[in-house]
Amino acid sequence: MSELKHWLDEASDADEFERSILRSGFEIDPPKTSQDQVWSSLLGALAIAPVVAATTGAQTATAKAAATGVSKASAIWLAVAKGFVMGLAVYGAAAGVSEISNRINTRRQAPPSTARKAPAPTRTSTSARLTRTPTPALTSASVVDDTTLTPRLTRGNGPARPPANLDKELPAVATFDGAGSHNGARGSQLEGETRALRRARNELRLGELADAFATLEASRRQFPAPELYQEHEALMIELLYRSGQVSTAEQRARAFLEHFPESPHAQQIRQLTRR
Amino acid sequence: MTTSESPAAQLANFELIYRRHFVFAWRALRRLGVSERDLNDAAQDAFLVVYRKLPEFDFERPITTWIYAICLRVASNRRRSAVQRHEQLNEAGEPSEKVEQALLTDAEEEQLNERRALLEAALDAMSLEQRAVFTLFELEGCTGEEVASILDVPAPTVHSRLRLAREIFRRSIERHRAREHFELRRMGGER
Repeated sequence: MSELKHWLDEASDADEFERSILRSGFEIDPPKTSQDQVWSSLLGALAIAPVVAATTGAQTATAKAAATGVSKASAIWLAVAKGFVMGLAVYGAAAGVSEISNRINTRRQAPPSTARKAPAPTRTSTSARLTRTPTPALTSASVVDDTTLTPRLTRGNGPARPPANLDKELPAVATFDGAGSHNGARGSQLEGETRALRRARNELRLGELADAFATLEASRRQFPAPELYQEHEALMIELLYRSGQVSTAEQRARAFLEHFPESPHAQQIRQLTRR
Repeated sequence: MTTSESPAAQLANFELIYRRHFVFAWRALRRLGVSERDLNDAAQDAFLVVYRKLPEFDFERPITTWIYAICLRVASNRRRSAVQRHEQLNEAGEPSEKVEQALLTDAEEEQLNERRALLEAALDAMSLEQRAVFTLFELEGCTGEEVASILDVPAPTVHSRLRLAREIFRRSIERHRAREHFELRRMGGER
């Protein structure tokens, strides 16, 4: 090969017209936005991997990470439960021990109005869901009281809130921020994620797609083990569709539906893929 | 990079490689015939492979060689599925369309667009293997040995592919010249 000359060499046997055609190939450059667009899509595509590992089950670090995520969510609900019980105790001091007992029993049978936002499943549905997704974190949920079951299940099988309701849900989450140092840190992650999702959704509504991508990417970096993974992913899929990256969106939608077939967002994603 | 690295460190390394080599990969895919419409998707496919295989990559080897080989496989897959869909792989390679668009711009840009369209048409006439050798040798300025190393084929194979690719290139240019000559004569006759 060493005897061959490149055609762009003056000494080669190519003529000037042929060289000019070859030189025109040097001008090919990607559009300025391409690099960031592809990077955003890449991050989204890569984000599937850890979740797949967590839901399929497997072991060690993944299971540990899943357990951590679950306990973060449950801690917030535990704080609510503690507050509720404390309130009852104060009231009970005046009204009598039997009255407290009655009220606790009443509460267990009919949850207070705050539970309407995310209805707590019954024990029966709990065990059914646990059977389908037997992660170590979820199994441990079976030994805690009813007040902590909802968030644990929410983490395992998908939060009971569709992304469209995130805006309305934010104040409720934000009020948990000051509940002790532990819960405060956990609450701040949830709050931060919720804020990021709300912002990204607003940007999506306004058609500011690049900004929405950037917001989701920033959130992904800030919270590598997200509490609101499914909301994040559902929003990213919608964003990819809206930005015309259909094949990437479909790929992620398939992965999402495969791993979270019963997610509250599954129907929305199915509708997107049918378009 | 080693497999013992944390996911965060792995992602940071990957981002560095991505930022440094995105343009190279994008150009490689473009020159390998991936249409402009599909370039972002193809680049994403290529870098997903880079990310997944990075822990196994031997950093003693030139990384561009490795990335190019990945791009070649991605382009090959896309070409195959485009053929299956009976689609033209390179929608930007329509010379008449390009020239028509160029008429709207100034003369210099028109000439550049026309030449680029000719190059695209000539490259489209080659097989993917010939195209890879031709673009690496003539556009990237690689030596024959480098091309052989990148494509993992013997040097004589590179030689023969380059010879055939050059013949195709020249035939394509000749056809263009003949058409142009015919057009000029026809226009002269009409006057």
